[in-house]
Amino acid sequence: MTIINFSEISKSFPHGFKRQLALKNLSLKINQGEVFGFLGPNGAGKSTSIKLLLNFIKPDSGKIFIKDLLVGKDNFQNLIGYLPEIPCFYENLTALEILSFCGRASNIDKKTCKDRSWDVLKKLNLEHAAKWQIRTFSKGMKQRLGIAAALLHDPDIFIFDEPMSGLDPIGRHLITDVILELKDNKKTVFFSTHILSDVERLCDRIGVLDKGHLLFSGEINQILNHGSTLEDAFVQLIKINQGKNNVTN
Amino acid sequence: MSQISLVAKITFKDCIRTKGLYGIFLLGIILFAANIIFTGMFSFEIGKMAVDMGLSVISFSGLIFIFFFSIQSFFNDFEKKTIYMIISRPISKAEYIIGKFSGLGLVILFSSLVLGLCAAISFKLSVMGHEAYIPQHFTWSFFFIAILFLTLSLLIMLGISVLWTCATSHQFIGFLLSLMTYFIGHNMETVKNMILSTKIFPSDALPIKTINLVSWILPNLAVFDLKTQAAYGLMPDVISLIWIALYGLSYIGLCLIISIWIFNRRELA
Repeated sequence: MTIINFSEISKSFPHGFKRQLALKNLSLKINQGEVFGFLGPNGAGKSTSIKLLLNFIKPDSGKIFIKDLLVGKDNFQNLIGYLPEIPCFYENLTALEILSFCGRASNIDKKTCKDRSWDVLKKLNLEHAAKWQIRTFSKGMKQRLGIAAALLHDPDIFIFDEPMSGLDPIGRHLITDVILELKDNKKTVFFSTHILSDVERLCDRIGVLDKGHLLFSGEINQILNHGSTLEDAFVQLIKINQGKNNVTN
Repeated sequence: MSQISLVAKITFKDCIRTKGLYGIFLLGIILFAANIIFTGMFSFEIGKMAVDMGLSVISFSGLIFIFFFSIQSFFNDFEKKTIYMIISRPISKAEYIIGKFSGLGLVILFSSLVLGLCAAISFKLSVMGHEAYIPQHFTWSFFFIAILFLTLSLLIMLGISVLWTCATSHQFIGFLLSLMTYFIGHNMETVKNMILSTKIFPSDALPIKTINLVSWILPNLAVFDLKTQAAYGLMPDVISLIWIALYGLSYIGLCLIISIWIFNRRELA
């Protein structure tokens, strides 16, 4: 069953007097219960796709559906747990206050919210820092708090924008375990990353994006037709696309 | 409503714990101490000076908060992407704007309450031993009504700064436009009266019509300034106070409606 559906999405941003294309006719389906890795070099359009999916920005054309809900029209936020690329919080609040806000905003009652906050803090090794103000947190701790906030209301779909960025090996291991646990619980995880080893370990399917074009979407073993390893195949796909663009230009 | 109160709560908590805010309170308290010292130098106008300075300190502290904290708080949400934490939940952009305004407005109310009490104490201490110089009709109730209207004018300025923040993409431009609106709003009434009193133009001339139009669009902040009346105990009639309050509340409402309209069209890239 398709749970996220990008249907012919195009998006451009103003660039001087012109508009620069960020995504062109992106069509992509993500199925329920799968871990989908979204790969691409910097500026490929990964974060733009995620922002469109969360209705932070609006597409020039095309539609996005989450389950049967149309993004930009229907309320879908309760179905989603989102981790931004660089999670930022109100620095003078404590971790517990942040989670209390996130839980209550997601319509969880006060007591359940409190219990779940402690559970997720424990899961992400942040129990000791529950009453610390965020400004005392390290980058890795903020990243883990971001994951905790995404897990708090136990949604069906998780959208993580570069979840491993800025984490030390222990932090990365922790997040990997969280994603694997979500996979075991049949949750849908859609995440963007540069780290190919994480993709090989975690993903059921992947999508490769470059300069706003979706170059590949499918299972990992299918992409290996383009190269002997995932890295080789990824580099080949990008080179072929850049060659095409140079010819077009 | 609950979503608005959640946003208001985190905004209020975050602001109230900002160290810079303590600086504003400290500055306020120092100015009140100065009030006690300086008013003694104005032998026949001690009461008037004490009220005038006390209310000015509240206004000054409130404006510093609006120009340097509120505008920054909004822009931080956009630039540091803190807004993603809020908007990715079932909270609409309208609820975010109203919640954020309410949270910052609560800080202004709290600061007016604390500094208002300080102003009352400094007035009491300033006139101690000089009771004869307290204006004949001075009443505490009108003193606090003046503080209330001063706070309302600060809330209008907060509404305007929210509007400019939503309409512009740079913090400095938002700050500059808010500052300009404040100066125009405070001096427009005087300029208008001055031009009308010269009778250079007939009442239906274009400059007079333009001034009248601008005075409707921009806030007339001078009407909320009841310092002089409070100092002399010259209480305006209740009906005009109600009209001024309604004008202020409507202006805030209008600013928020326009802000929401603009913000709904803004992309959070």
